[in-house]
Amino acid sequence: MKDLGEVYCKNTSIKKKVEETKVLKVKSDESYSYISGNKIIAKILDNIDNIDISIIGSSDIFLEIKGKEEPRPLLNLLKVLAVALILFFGSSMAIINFFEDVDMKSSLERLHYIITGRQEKNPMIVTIPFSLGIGLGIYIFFNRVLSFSKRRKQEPGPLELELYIYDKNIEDSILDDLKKSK
Amino acid sequence: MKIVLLIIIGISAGLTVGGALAAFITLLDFIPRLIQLTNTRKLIKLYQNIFALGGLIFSFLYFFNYGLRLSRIISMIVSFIMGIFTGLFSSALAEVLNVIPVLSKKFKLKHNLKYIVFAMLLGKMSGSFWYWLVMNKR
Repeated sequence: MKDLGEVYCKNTSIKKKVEETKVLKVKSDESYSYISGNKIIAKILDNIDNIDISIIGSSDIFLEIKGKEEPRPLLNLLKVLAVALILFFGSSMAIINFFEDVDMKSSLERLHYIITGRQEKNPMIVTIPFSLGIGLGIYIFFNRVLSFSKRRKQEPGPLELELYIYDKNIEDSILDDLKKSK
Repeated sequence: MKIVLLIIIGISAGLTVGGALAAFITLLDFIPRLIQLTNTRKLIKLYQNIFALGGLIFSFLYFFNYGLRLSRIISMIVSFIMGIFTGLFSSALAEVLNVIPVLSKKFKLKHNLKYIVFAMLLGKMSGSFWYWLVMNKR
């Protein structure tokens, strides 16, 4: 019980007994499992009677049983390299397709004409700062530049938020499946 | 009579296109990200108005086919800022924000996320350079 949550009780001997209650024995193969609040209360009341229990917070516990992962730096490096290559060429292709799709060439030439009054074909004075700006824009979106407060540096960026939401959705869906099948 | 009809059609077409653009920008959630980065929540009305004003002014300038004779340095600065906008807006698309979490979960790469974002950033930048400086030589 002490691995699953915090126990509060004024009487320290009861508190110790509750904390030492065994709730679940897990087989050693990797799987997902869950412990419902009812099971916890039942096991505690089996052990000790004549007490009141109130559970604060969510009462279901979602378990993920996995083996010990040894750190493998070489495989990690290859994985990072593979994903980096995919994203590098993939995003260049995405940007090139986007430019072709919206005919960026003529709109930038038009912009140059609007501002300076000169008609230039493929104006480098416009295209090079534009490309540099794309890189800077992506960097600003994902990271923080120029922030002096420590608290704000630790706020999750949009990518971390998406990772969190994705993980949460997966866990919620597995929990629902387990509950339905039990 | 024809003039009134044309004016009505023009205004309604403009309303539709403007509404579509505004909805697209709102959906992407990247103005909230900018507000979060600069911590200027109270100025959101100002940002909305600036966005509308920019669309209005450039729409007029585009159709009137008139070249203001400003210097080339201003052209460079304006296109740099446009590039920043394109970068911000293209990374708020679902193709980025949903693909990267899936990839990082499948390959278990949560700690090395900054390399992956960097790879994407370099990819977009070099794709853009490639397009303007190499692919357009014909």
